[in-house]
Amino acid sequence: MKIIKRSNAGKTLVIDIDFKDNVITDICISGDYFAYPETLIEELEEKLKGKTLTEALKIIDTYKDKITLLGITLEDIKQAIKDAYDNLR
Amino acid sequence: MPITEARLIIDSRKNPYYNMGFDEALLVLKKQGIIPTTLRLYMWGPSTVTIGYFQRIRDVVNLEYAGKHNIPVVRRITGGGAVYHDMYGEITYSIVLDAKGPLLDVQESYRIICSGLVETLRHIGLEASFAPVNDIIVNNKKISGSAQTRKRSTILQHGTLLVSSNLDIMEKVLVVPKEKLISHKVVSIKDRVTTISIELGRDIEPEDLIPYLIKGFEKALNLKLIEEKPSTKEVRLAEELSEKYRKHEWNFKR
Repeated sequence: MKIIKRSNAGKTLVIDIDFKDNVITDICISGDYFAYPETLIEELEEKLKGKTLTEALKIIDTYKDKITLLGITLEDIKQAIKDAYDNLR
Repeated sequence: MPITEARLIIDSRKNPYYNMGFDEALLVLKKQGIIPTTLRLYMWGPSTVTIGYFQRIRDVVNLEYAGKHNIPVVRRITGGGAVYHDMYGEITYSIVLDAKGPLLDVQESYRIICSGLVETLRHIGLEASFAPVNDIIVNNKKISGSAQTRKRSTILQHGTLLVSSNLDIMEKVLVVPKEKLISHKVVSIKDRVTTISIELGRDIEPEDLIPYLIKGFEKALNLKLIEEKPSTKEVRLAEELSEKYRKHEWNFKR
């Protein structure tokens, strides 16, 4: 499933995500945003795989002090994942 | 604030792999303290699409069109959006410098570095302004976009200045999500983007901008730019790093 969200912070967030039995099996957090350091986005994607929605949202919160985002926010990522999950139901 | 001496490299038209390899080489060498603050001005040959580090290539590029028209597509190490670099209508800048003082704040550093382009455009008679996150606009249309990465306390920022780019090709080769167009209240790329030639109403060559860019960045960043040829070390590292940008695994990793 693909969720495209134009963030109030100014950039486009695209989440491609698959769920199986309420667990994230694959996720790609793409878009024209900026993240510093960049590699944390790939790290986050890996950490979210195999997690439930609740677990995933908690993991994202742990990045608050680790990553600087420009153009999107961690809340945008959480909301997009929630939207994808809701769309499945 | 005292004027700082900095290097200027004016490169000829280069292939996209070398161009991206060279910018990365500047970042590596600046981080290692081997080179000082350096501004590079360059162009592309052939015309190329670069995409942001986080973008999915198939989401943002019409690969069929790019393939048919021999337009290479290369992923940058910087975030941001896809850019069409018209080999006859666009000039690119890159700059490496220390992240200190007001440059420590990411959004503020975009504004400060982009003010070099705002000054450039003012020098040629266009009223330009910085539009956060990373754009410069003239008459409410985008004329320049920049992207930045940081390695520890070193910044690499590069960006495009649309001089006389072919907007028909740009519109065909780039795919823009409708959500983005809606947010800018436009229906197509051409409604949202302009060039220096369009704004001035006359033909301008990318090379014509070079003296204005030098003046613009010198004024905005309080620099005295001294032109130098790229060093052997830079060229060698750029060639080495360019191999990454040729690879399918890199460009199609998302």
